[in-house]
Amino acid sequence: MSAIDQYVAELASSLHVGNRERVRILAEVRDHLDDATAFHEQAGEHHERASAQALREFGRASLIATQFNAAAGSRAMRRAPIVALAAGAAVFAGLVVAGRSQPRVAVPMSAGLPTQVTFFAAVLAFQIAVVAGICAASRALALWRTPSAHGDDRQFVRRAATISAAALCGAAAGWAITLGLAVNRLAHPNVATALGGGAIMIGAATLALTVTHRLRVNPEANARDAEMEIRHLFGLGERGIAVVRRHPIVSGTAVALLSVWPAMAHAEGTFVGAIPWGVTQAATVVVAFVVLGPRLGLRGPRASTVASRSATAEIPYTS
Amino acid sequence: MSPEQLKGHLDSLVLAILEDGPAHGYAVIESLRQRSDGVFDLPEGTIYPALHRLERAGRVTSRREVIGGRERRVYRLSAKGRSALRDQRAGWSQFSSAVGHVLGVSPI
Repeated sequence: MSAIDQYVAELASSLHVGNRERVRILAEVRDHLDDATAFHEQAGEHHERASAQALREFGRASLIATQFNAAAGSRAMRRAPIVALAAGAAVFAGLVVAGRSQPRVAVPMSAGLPTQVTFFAAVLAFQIAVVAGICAASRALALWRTPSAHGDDRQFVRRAATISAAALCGAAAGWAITLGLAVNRLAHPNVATALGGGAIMIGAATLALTVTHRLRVNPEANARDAEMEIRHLFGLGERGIAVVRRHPIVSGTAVALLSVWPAMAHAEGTFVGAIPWGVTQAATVVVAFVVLGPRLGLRGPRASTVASRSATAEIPYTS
Repeated sequence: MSPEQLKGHLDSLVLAILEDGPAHGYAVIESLRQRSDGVFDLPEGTIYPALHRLERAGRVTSRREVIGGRERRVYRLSAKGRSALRDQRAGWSQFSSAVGHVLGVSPI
């Protein structure tokens, strides 16, 4: 095996990009090294020395791979919130389809406690999915124009999108169980429609979870290009999250209190009967904020934010 | 000159090289070295991530062509790339002029 073969093999093992791109990169690199070797041979070098010089001038395989991996990871990062958003829309569509199987509202006032509990748990999970999806989307949007986003950002977006998809799975499962519990109570249930809606919900959420979890964002590749633009509408989400980070207690409390009323309004007919649902809603917001907040960038150390990182990235153009 | 100083300008430089005509990666890096009198002597491999990035951005196009009896991927400046290069030239002119004034260096 020649030195160029070894180099190309090393580069191949370090690349974490799609197959088509990998083939293209390796072919270009080999062509380049052949040309450079030929050039040095024409200048009077022996073949071994010429190829060694060509490899030296080309740069370390790890350096080149890092730049490709960072760019590929950034593209994967941009797909994550889109997958989560599409799954959210599909789960909602599945719920609507399943809801058509019932002549009355999905959870009638007379529904049993298990039906109410599973439906409400699914709503809570859906809320978490929406918040996590927004966090993923806001970071991805802020870095939309950046060719090679920082590895931490790529990992963050994938993590938030995965949390969103996992919560969607929970919501889909909760609503599917609700349908199962409710379908026997209906006078004229359309079982096929209910099953179809449930299948859409669970299928979409599971697929999204699998895709987001397996996205190759290459967080270890940290070659950053010069552009790090957070401006205009693209940075709006990150600015909003920065406000939440600055005032975590006020933000968490405000959201918890604001979410109580809709939860109570849709739960029970009497105010007293609705209180447990309102309390559960508020408690869920607080617990989710405490437990998931650091993972979603809503609270915790500032090091995980985009704006604080512009001056700390590795320089890509050094050998 | 430190390669670090090239950070952020490599894409513009590649576009400027391709403005003269289509070229493959090896020719681009050679041209960059020659036109800078050897000042821009960065690792040659770093040109490919830049070329791929520019292609994804629609600023260059590429296709396989036979050059000197061997097949090579050749890059061309696109209309979008030409427009981007024009903007980057204007921006650079303004920037370098301002820095020159502040440093007390006359524009070349």
